[in-house]
Amino acid sequence: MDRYLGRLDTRLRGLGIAAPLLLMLSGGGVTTVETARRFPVRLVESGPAGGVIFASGIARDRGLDRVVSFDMGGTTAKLCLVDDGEARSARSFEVARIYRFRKGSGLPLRIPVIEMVEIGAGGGSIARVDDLGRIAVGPASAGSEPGPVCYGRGGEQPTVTDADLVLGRIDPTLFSGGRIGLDAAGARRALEDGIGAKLALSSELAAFGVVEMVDNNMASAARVHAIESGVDVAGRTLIAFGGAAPLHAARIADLLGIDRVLIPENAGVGSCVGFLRAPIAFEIVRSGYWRLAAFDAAAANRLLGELEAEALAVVRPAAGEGESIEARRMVYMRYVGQGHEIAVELPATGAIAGDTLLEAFGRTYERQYDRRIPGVDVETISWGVTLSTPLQAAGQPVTTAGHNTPEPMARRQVFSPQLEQAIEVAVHDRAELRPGAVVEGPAIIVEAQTSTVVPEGFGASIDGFGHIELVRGPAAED
Amino acid sequence: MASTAAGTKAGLARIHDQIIWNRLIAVVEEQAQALVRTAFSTSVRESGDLSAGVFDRRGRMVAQAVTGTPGHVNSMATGVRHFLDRYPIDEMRPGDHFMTNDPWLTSGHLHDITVVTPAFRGDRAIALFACTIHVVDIGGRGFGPDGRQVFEEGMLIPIMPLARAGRMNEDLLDLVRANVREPRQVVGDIFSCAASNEEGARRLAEMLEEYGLNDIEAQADHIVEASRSAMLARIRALRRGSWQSRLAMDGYERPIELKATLTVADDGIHVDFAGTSPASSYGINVVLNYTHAYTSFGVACILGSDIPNNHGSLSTVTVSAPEGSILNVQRPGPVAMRHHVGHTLPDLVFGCLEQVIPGRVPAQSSAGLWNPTLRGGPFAVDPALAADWQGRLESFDALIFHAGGMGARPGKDGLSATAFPSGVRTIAAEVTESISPLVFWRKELRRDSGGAGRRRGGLGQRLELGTRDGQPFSILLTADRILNPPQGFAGGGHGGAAAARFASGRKLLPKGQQTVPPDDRVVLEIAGGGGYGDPTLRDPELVAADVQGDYVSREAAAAAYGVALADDGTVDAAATARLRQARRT
Repeated sequence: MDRYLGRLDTRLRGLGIAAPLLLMLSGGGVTTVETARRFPVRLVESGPAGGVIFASGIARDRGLDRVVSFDMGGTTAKLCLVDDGEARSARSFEVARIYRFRKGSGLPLRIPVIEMVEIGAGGGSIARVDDLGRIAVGPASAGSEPGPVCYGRGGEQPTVTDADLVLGRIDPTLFSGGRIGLDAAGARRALEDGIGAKLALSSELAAFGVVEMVDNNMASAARVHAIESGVDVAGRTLIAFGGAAPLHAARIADLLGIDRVLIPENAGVGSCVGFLRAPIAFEIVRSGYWRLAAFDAAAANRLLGELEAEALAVVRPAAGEGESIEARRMVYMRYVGQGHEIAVELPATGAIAGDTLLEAFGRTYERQYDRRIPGVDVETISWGVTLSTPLQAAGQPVTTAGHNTPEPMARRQVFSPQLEQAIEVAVHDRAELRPGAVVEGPAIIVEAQTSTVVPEGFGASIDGFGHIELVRGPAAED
Repeated sequence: MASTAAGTKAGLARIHDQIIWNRLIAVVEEQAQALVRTAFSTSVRESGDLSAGVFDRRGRMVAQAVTGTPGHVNSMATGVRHFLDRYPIDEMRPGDHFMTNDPWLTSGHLHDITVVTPAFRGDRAIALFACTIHVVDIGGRGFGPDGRQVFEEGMLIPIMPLARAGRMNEDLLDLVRANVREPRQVVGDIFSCAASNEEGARRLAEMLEEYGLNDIEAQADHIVEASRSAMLARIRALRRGSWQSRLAMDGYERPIELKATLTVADDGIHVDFAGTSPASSYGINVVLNYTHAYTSFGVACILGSDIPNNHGSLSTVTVSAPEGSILNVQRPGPVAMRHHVGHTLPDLVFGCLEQVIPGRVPAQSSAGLWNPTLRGGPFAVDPALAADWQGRLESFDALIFHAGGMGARPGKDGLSATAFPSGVRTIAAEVTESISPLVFWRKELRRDSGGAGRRRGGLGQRLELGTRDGQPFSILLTADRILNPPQGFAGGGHGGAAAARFASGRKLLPKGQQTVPPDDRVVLEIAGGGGYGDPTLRDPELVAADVQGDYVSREAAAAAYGVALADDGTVDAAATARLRQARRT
């Protein structure tokens, strides 16, 4: 890693590129190539972090406080809970899993990461009938090579994308901006041979079964992740991106009791956009054990000072001299005898005293668990400092001067999972929809990288940022 | 293909059945995660020593959570009907919870508490949610093998209401609080069980609403039947006949021999344990329910690991053991450490299946978890050894879980320090150290403890435990496989034998409660797994990598594998060929 990044940096400079090379970290910030070379472990799982940064930025722009970020690509789907514009973070991550999607089968790393659940469900996930006569989808994936059967590059087993195509959700002539013609007949044949013939289902029903199964798998993963995190998923806003997500988002929202879905601009390449919006940041956590009854404030403040100096040495060179840098200071605390500590935020500056620490812990604990436990001493386990450049705000939203109801570019037959039959839907070109445009479901909104399914019962509108907003019930009026 | 309207309707119904099946599995996983998240004790929240499942009106297990142990889940699968015998389902009301820890009705020792909760649609009970947890204490002698009768091992709670119509049975909870060493944790865990069952019931209600169902009877029939048929198809693909295997253990007061006869028939697999040793005077005996649980798990590991575990798949394996044998102990036999014997049952099943389908089963694992209770405080330790510590002893009661090596698999090495078959996770040393004065001075893999073979057995581990300040503490130990290490298969060597000693060299008894004197420590060495296949057929490069990783010593590489290494650690091909030739002749 050290050598690779060193070579990359040298060659980029050799090409005359003067801009600094920055790398995404698992925790959601970017850092210099020097730091990445020193701590390569902090880059693990940094790609998906970009997607979550993307969704968090949108959540902040739109003032959405409770969000599920949903990133579905070719092989996997990643779900992350975003509260108050901030992704949930964790301090350990499992790598080298024997079973990629099974918790506990890998080696735990103690690094700051964005906490998300990843399951083997993507457009390329392969569908088959198992020994019990059940449709099983993934985790095996056809990836992009050979890819789904409809790509015509040698794939033989039916995939989720093939099922989406057979259901009419993807227009074979418009896929990827019309550059790749899709083999709809091949997809149909594969679903019939691989699924339909074994279960006495038509190819549409087989495709419906595949899509329902994968949507339910994702919804179940989201529910379990939410319960592990102690929060509810119903009533949140789903922000859906990645090539396959806009096709599946509305159904998943249905299954999760979610009424609002955002399909951002650039939904197909959300992770990359996230990289560009990520702040320059570095987090350092170090253990510092004290019982509050015998708290050594001087030592704790010294520790915080050291952490801040170390983080500054990393962040300042990347940020540049003029850039302002914000500090966040956390202490991880628990009642003596407990096994899990909670993160308590400290004021960004100033010395810490034992009684303010106790009060901050009590307030945080009460917010999470509804009560304090009287008469039990509290202990600090570890201390963390994150230095970061300010988060970039998006441009100002365009004010939408009134609504307009554009004419569809076409109509076509699409299988509706809600009605369980094929119905005629309107097809719109996303490029033609301006802020304020309103589209009633059922409809499909096509763009170069993906298609958004607007089921009956949902209304779609384009907001001031250019995002598609799906809302259950009539289309949004503002 | 179905093209008519009726065909479409039937097709959709089949798809819905499948979705609902997956959804039920997700519902019980949510139930289990709610339990882990709210539990108080380390055994539940850190180790996942629990199970969770949903049952139909007849008490058939329809789905189980992946999180959890087979001993719990398969015992629970047969245990819920006892609740229904006592409290008929139509007499249950919303807000009812029922509870027991009767070893003979559920999972084989008093430390496991099972809570059963009805789920309602309107005012009709349509399903039951159940969970089983291992609580940190249940009174009596505590979690060790010293009891001579179950009465000494703690309090037994017959099947009774934990709550009726939402009102907790405070009399029962007071009794529990008064009889256990950690009342806050134990009662807290019992509340967590009730809460997690309710969570499951809530999720089920949402699912029924979504699909417009009144109950899960038809789905349960479908799930049970499909699972049973799939498992039967696998069994019917085997040769008919009977095969035998044996396994020797150290035992407490005398050696134990376990003997299995596995019969493959058209209607399933039957395993009989005739010829097995009689019950022990000490708490290492197994109730038939638990014998059944780990025997059927052994069969499922090899034949049906991809088939959902439920009443249907479990019904294809039947088990019998002589009454009064160590695998079918009768009341009031002592049973606290029943897993030391029970966890070897998959290995016995594998020993039989190795003869039916050679090359499909792993060699023997170290099996039984080592989970000593470590205890401190006045009268937890021998007062004569604590004379200098008057007034300074800290009271604590900590349960830890540690595993030895798994047997090598036909195609892969065995996993090191991995809890098979229980699947229980270890409690991090740091967690134990933070709730007690204990210190793990050493926790490492034991070099050369993996049985030699073409595939190497997993390594056992070595632990060295003491206290921060040298204060004495006591250990309730059950150490086995000292005299009878796990065996290899198909020419593989046995795993490294276990050992237990004081660091000072004083003699430590392998079983029973003992005081660790001031400033002394205990050293526990858990066995490695058996090897698979002839060690001289192991790729010499893999042996060299094992030496580099300190899994195998240079000496053992030569002696056990016939592999000679040059000074830089690379394989000396010529010398290796000579060594291997010499070994074969």
